Amino acid sequence: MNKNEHNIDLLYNHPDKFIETHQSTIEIIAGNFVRSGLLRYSEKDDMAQYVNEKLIGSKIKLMQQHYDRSYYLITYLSMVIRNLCLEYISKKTEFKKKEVTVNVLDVDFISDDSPTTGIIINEELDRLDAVLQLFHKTKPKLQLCLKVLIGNITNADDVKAAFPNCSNKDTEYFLNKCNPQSDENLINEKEMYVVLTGFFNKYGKKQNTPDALRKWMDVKFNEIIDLMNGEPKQAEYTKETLKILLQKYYT
Amino acid sequence: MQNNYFTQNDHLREKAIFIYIDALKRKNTENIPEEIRDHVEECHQCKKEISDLYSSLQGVAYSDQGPHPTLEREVDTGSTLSAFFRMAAVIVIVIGAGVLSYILFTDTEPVVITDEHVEEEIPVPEEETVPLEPSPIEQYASNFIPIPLYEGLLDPQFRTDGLSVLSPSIGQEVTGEVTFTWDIYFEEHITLQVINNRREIVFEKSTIENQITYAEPSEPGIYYWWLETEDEFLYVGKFVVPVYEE
Repeated sequence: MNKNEHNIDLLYNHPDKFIETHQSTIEIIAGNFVRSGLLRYSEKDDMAQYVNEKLIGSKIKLMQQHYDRSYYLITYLSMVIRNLCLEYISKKTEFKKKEVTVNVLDVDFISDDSPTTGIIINEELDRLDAVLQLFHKTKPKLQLCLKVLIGNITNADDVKAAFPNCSNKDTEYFLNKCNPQSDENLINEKEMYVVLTGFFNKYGKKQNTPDALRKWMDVKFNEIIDLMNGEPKQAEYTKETLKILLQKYYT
Repeated sequence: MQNNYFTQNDHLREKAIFIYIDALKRKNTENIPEEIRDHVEECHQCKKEISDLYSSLQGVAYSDQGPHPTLEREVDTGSTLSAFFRMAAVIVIVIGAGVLSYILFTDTEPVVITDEHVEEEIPVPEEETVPLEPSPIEQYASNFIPIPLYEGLLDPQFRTDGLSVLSPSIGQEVTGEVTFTWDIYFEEHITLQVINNRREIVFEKSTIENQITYAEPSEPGIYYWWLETEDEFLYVGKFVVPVYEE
């Protein structure tokens, strides 16, 4: 029996044991709220108690009624726990305003090479990866633009992923332009948009201007920032700090 | 089968969001139904729902969850089919080997069982056993093992504001009927449930009064009880029915 089947068995046949088994899940999700600054550490246990009470009270019965087995039960349970945590935060805590906003990409923070910092940055990279997946078919083009704009080395695979029909000659041209071998050949942001627009128009059969592409990228950048900061707000990304995270992501 | 992944407002239903989360957790977004992926690509609101939930789930382990009911349905079918063919091949081989061995070995001499192969059975003397009757304490010992989950909920600081439970107090020893009384006014019914330490519900009743009487717990042990309304969990208590040795 795999874990999902085991969870389903517990939910329907031993609901109390199901809750007991998932105390660590409650702990992890409550911990995520503490780390995001939405909850004081001292309130974590109270919140876990609140979640347990609600689960035992009525939520488990609702879960039994509504779970349709087309996804993992752990995901459903996690969503229920998360919603209860948010309910607790909005109802019980006076800690309405964030006081411990940690900007994980502060210069001081990033120079701290402690294991904890490493774990947090890896988690942020994991979140960024998930956010980029949401762009689906746009992702290869978006990724190419992001890499170019943050000054990351691009390669032929990036170009081919964004423009599958791109000729080898054009790919070589693109790589020479965007990965200059010397400082003399460095191009500025405006020139990068000119190069990128040429490719978007030729291989995407569009008639865009570099300015239109710049605006499109601004929109996408802001969208990624908004997704990374979350609702309720759990991070303080700006354009600059997101660029730092992207550089780490693509390195 | 029609999979209804969208609400009337043309956003993802929860089940579609969960499927997306499962795929992200498994690093396997290619198998997400295309209609879900296409919608998310264009919809910032649904992107936000997914990324917020994903962020809250960081650190939650997804290993050994088994095949995904939606994302791996086709893979499952494939593996089921190949398992079927493998099983069929094994059956054919076994039957073939049986037929072959029958043809090859039916003319050989049969194995004769002689007396020397038969071991004499040594009779085992029946022990005279006297059934041991456990003492009442031993008999009910397992009824007194607490349930950690409920023990953790007994702390009075987690009670609903304004509710005070008058009886029984936490851990109170009771004999005979148990009267539960509390002091709070609710317009709706309050339900009381009593469970034993095997998590079996032994008593349940709803009331709009402030008191319920439970005739008598059937056996000694620890009992947990709680009060709840339809939407709110109000209180968790515990009482003990002691063992009396004669």
